[in-house]
Amino acid sequence: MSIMTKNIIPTEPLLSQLIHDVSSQCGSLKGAAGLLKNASPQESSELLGLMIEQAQTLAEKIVAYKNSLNADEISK
Amino acid sequence: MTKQGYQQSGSARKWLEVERPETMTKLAVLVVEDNPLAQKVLAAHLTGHNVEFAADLNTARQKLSDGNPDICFIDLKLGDKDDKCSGLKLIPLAQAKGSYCVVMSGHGSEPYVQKAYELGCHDFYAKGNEEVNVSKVLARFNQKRKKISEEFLFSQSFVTQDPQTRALIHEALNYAPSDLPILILGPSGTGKTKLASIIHDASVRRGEFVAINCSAYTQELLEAELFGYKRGAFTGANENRKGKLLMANEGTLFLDEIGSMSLEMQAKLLKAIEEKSFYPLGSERPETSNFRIISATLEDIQSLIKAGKLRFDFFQRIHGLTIELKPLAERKEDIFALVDFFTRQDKRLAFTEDAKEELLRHDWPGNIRELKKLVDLLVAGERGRVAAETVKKMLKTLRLQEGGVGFASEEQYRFAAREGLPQAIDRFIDAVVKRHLESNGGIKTKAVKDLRISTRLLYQSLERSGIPYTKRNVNHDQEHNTNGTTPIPAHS
Repeated sequence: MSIMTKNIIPTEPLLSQLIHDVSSQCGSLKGAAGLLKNASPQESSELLGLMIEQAQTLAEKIVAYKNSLNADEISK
Repeated sequence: MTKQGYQQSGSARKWLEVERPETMTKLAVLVVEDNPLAQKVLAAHLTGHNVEFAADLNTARQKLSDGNPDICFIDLKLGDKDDKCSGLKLIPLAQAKGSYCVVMSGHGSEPYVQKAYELGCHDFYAKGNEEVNVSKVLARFNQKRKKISEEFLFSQSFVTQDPQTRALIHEALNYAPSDLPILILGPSGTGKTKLASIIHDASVRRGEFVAINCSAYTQELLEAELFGYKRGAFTGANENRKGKLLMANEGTLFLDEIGSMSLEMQAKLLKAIEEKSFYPLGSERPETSNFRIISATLEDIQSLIKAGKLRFDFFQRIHGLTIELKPLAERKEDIFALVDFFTRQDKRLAFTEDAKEELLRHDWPGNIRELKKLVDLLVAGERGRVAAETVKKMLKTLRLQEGGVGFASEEQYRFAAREGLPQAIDRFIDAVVKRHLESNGGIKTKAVKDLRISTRLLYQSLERSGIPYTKRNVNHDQEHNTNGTTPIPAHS
């Protein structure tokens, strides 16, 4: 291990943030899914677009967190 | 869908709300949420309300400053990099606007939610189940507002702690948004005009509250006041004048002392009520007016009808709901609440224990009006704690002022001058007998003994008042007069 390597530990706040974002955005996805049932075609299209965007954002956040965990592993 | 009313103009009326179970008042809502999908979901569950959105702190601040939202939904975390939950900064601003503040957050924000409550937020829900949570929040908001408005109503508007009176007022307010005519009964000074005004305020009728005391006018002048007149219609009619019926268009016409209206006037007014149209004096062109009637009297309605002084068809038109207000003597727990209310902007009055007892012992024939006058006298003149002697002296002063001719009240004098002294005596006898019976379990022998009257006089009074009774042997009582009293001489 390099003397210069910082000992990067995945911080609690990062995990808390991820948990918050996942729960919050999954909540919106769930709520939006419930609206699809009675939505008009135009509303459905708009909702689906936003849902896809949201799911993508979530996936990116999870990847970012995974990368930060990997970086920590490497640094150890 | 039934009608509902919610007044938003003026702070005195803002609290008034009459809500029907199947509808909800349209609310002004501000949603502070940066996530577009979450905004869409919330919008769907707030259909029917005026909803504005803000996606960042500055926009939210601006909207709070410019608007007056009833409810604010605030997402604590505004933006991906917002790790300090900047939504918290909006809570004091929303509070200052009197908005019901609801905080929304995902899991993991417990310390920030705690902080939100410390800053004064009213409600919270965890994001993810908007369908259930939003309706629960709205229900809690309406419940809180109803509670506040009730406290305001009975502490600032119609001050009473008496449960029966409160129940009556609630009932009246239930009918406020309808066009149902309401008849308010009660002795002078019990708040009949005040109640009528409160009902009007809760009615969402966009017109005015127009009051007229029918006993203050001769019948000719009353007609002119009600229907209006054209210039030259009669001597003294120097200009065109709009009548009260027209002034009350789309509003409420409050007829106080309706018992003093002549039969002829009742017939004319009945026609105007039924047709919603009438002719001002001296005019050949009819006017139309859509008014709601609230009327009031201190007299016994059944006696008026029985005596032929109130037309039955007219009575049918003016009473859909009848509310009877209790005299102050029957709700003495209101005395000190009323004193506090009357002195809320002046110096407060402090009473000795004896003075308090004196206030509670007094009969309050002038009811709340009399109490108000007493408070005004005390505030103007007294320093320190008010003693019992002072209360007695002031009450005596008021009695003399009100009496005018000593024993007879202003009301009694006016009635006698209008209807004749024999009628006034009958009315006085009936009122005293009725009150005695009500206060003593209806025991007639006690009334005869305490009031020192003959049974014949008692039965005459009961007959006039329409109170049912079983006739005793009047002759026996007259001959033997075993109660040791002298019957009051009969008059024609």
